[in-house]
Amino acid sequence: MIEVSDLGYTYGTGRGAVPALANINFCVPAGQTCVLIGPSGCGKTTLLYLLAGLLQPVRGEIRVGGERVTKPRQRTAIILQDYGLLPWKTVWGNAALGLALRRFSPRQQEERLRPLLAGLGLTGLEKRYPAELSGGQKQRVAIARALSLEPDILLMDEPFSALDALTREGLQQTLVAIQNQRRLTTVLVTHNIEEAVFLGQQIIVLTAAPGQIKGVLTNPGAGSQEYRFSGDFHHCCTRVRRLLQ
Amino acid sequence: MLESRRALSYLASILFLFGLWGLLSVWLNNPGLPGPLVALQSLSRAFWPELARHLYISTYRVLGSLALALLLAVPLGLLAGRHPSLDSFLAPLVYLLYPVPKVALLPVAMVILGIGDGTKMLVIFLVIFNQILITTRDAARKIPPPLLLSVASLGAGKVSLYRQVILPACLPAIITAGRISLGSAISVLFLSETMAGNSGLGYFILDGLFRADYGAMFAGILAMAGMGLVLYIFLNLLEYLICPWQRL
Ligand SMILES: Nc1ncnc2c1ncn2[C@@H]1O[C@H](COP(=O)(O)OP(=O)(O)OP(=O)(O)O)[C@@H](O)[C@H]1O
Ligand SMILES: [Mg+2]
Repeated sequence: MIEVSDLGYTYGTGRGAVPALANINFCVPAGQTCVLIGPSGCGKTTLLYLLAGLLQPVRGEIRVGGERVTKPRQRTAIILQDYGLLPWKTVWGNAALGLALRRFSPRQQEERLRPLLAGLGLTGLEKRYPAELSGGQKQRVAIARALSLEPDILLMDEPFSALDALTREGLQQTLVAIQNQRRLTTVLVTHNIEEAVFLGQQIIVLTAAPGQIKGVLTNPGAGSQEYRFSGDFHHCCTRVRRLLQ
Repeated sequence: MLESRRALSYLASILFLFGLWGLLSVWLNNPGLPGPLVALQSLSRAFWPELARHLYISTYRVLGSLALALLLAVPLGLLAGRHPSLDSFLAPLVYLLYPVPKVALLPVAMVILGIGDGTKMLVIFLVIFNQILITTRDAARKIPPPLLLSVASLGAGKVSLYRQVILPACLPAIITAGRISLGSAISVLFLSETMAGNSGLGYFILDGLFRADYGAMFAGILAMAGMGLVLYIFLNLLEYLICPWQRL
C-alpha cells in the first residue's frame, strides 16, 4: 500500500526554482496497478523518483506500508526508460547487479536469475551487451533485474514507449502475468492512453507543470486481454483523453 | 579476414612512410638524413646491449610517469566531476596552470632533484597530469543522472556507484587521455634526456649527433619511434581488454 499525502516538489531554490509537483494526494492499495499519465514535463518522472526514495519531498510525505519513505527502500524496484541498463555490463551482469550489490553469492545469483531469465525469454543472451539487444529484450533484462530483488513495489517510467506496437503489447501481457503471480503493487508512467487503460486499475491524470491531480479514474477491468476489445475499454480511453485535453 | 586486411593496411602505411622518407633522403642528399635502408642497417649494427639499456631506461621513465599520473589524476578527476564543490576549487587552479609551460620547470627540477630519473619523471608527470585530470573530470560530469539513480535504487552506496557506474563510464575517456598523454610524455622525455644526464634514448641520439655517428643517431630515433608505437599498441590492447563493450 502506497499513500501519498499533500506531496509537493520543487527543483532548486530561490530564483531558479522549478516547481515540479504540487498537492499530490493518492493511494495505491497493495497488489494494484496505478498508471500516471499527463503532459510532458508535468512531473511524472519526479513523482516516481520521490516514490522510490531517490528524491526527498519538499512538502508532504510518502508512506509505504505505513512507513515513511526517506531513502531507497529494499523492496522497491524502479525501471527507468533509457538508462536502466549499464552499457558496460552483459545481460547477466546487469540482471545480477542488484543481487551482487546486496552480496548474494554467485551461487545464489544463479539460483534466482536462471528461472527469471528463462521466464522472460532471455536464456542464451546472458553474455551479450545491451548494445547487442533489441529494445524489447533490453526492457526484459531491466524487468529481470528489478524482479531479482523480489520487490513488493515496482515503479516503471515509460517502460515500453520505445517499442513497436506488437512488442509493446507482448510486454504489457508479460507484466500483467508477473503482477498476478507476485502480487506486485505497481506505479507506471506512460504517454500512451491505451496502455494506461489496459494496465491501470487506477489511472491518475496530471495537469501541466507543476503537476497536480486533474482526475483519478478507477478501471477495474484492467489487465485482462479481452478487456482490450470491449466497449468499456474504449469508453475509458475516451474519458482519459477528455481529461488530458 | 577483417584482421588480415587491417594488418595489410598497416603494412601499406609503413611502406608508404618509408618510401616518403627514402625520397626525401635522396632529394636532400645529406648525411644527416640517411635513407631508411641505411638507417635500418645501422640499427642492426648498433651496439645492441648499449641501445637496449637506453631503451629500457626511457621506457620505464615514460611508463612510470604515465602510471603515476593516471593513478593520481584519475581519482581526482572522477571526484571533481561528481562533486562541484571540489571542482570549484580545482578548476581555477587547473585553468591558471594549463598554459604555463611545465617543461620550463625542468631546470628548477634539476637543481632540486638532480639529473636522475626523478627530475625527468616529475616533469613528464606535470605535463600530462592536467590532460588526464580534465578529460576524466569532463567524462564524469557527463554521466546521465538516471544511470546513477537506477543503480542507487538497487541499493548501491557511494563506493559501489564509483566502482559500478562512474569509473566504467569514464574508462574510454581515460584511455584516450592516456593515448594523448603518451605523445606528450615522449616529447618531454626526449627533451629532458637531451638536456641532462647520460642515459635514455634522448641522450643516445644526441651522443650520436655529437660524434657525427649518424647511423647510431638514427638507430636511436628508430628505437624511440618503436617504443612509442609499442606503448601505443599496448594502450589499445588495454582498451580492447578492459572495455569490451566499446568494440560493439
Ligand atoms: N534536475 C532537474 N533540475 C531542474 N528542473 C528539473 C530537473 N528535472 C526535471 N526538472 C523539471 O521538472 C519538471 C518535471 O520534470 P519530469 O522529468 O518529472 O517531467 P515528466 O512528466 O517526467 O516529463 P516527460 O513526460 O517529458 O518525461 C519539468 O519542468 C522539468 O523541466
Ligand atoms: Mg519523464
